[in-house]
Amino acid sequence: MATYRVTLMTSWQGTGTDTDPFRPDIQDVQGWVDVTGQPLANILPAPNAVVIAAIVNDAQLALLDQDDILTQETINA
Amino acid sequence: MTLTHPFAGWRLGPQHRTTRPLLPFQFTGAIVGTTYSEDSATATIADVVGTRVTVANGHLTLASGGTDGDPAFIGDTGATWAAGLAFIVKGSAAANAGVGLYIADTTTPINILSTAQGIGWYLLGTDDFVLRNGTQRADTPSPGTNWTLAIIARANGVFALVNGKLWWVFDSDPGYTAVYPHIVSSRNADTTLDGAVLTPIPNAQAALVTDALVGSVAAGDTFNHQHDCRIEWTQTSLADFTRIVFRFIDANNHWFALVRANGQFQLYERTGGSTSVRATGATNVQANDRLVVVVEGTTISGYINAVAQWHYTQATSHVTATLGKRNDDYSPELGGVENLRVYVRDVANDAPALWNAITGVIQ
Repeated sequence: MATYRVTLMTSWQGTGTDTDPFRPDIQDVQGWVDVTGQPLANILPAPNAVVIAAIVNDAQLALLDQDDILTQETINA
Repeated sequence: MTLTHPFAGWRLGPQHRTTRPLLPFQFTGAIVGTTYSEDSATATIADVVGTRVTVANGHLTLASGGTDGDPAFIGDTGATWAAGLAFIVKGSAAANAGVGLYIADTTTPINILSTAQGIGWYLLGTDDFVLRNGTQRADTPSPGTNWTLAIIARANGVFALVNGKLWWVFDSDPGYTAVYPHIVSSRNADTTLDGAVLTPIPNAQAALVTDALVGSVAAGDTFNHQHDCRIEWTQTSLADFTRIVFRFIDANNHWFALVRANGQFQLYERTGGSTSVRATGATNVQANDRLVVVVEGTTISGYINAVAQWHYTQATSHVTATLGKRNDDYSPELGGVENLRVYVRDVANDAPALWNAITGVIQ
């Protein structure tokens, strides 16, 4: 199965509490890292946006395409 | 049954060859027989009466007598002096016994105490000192009767560990590049050796532990770390949650790695009382996996069994904090954690007292 290194721009969800932390609004992607590194003090400005890097498989890539949040993709291996 | 002996690749010093010398390169079958060949890869051993080296149950004993400092075993395989080279011997000694552990620049057997072009360490009962080229350089504490002795090369010097604790540091270029391990005998009581290795440590710093939580780690257990460090632990069971906190300032300002009941492995930042997930691993943790978090500058990385899961490069908060703990600010905290260890990332400028453990070479 091919895997792809992708960069996504999405919005934050959550309220910043320990039980509901700020996190990227993504589903179907498990392995990711926050690329933006936005300080927590202003994590919800306008626009509400976060960029993450992730590695996904074919099925996940198709789902991301449907969500229209994919900004860049590279075949990884 | 063929048993590879921990002394494979070593040969006897000349004074130990006089009567039925033994070379336990490798044992085939039971440890019985009488043949011996110095160059043979196999030796079978029977009557050991009369020799000063005996073998039993996989252990090798250097008998008392002879001359202090005479090399009993010399490593035939040399190595290049380089940072991270470790010479490690594990053994035990009766009271007032002795043994020497050296790295020399020659395979020629020599009396370490007089003419050696080597650096090392000689134990004689409660007297324990560091030598370089035959000159005593420092007195050190006695290691007791059961020990793992390790000499580890650095770029321009050497330090030694006993039972995981720093024993001495010698900050000087050894002056040579090719090195051979020597184990020397003492004239006092017997010394039993369980194993000896000359081995590279991939990263000289990787073996240096600054703090450890041995056994089960409970909520609220704390540890200290350098602001750049490597933290690892065994995740013995999965339940919601496990939070290993580091760069802790207070309950509202710190970082933590989180493991969920489903095995999800995440990096969290907490600043000013707000919490954010900064990274999530692609692989789920399984029970008894070894988890590692490497904190270095503004980068925090997570690994499961040495497989990278995330590298977060924007960790600009709390970068100088040095306290860690198993979370007790949030609940629940139900995952099983054992044997947490904290390593340095860079020993170049650290006080020797930071180095207090070595693991993973001889268990």
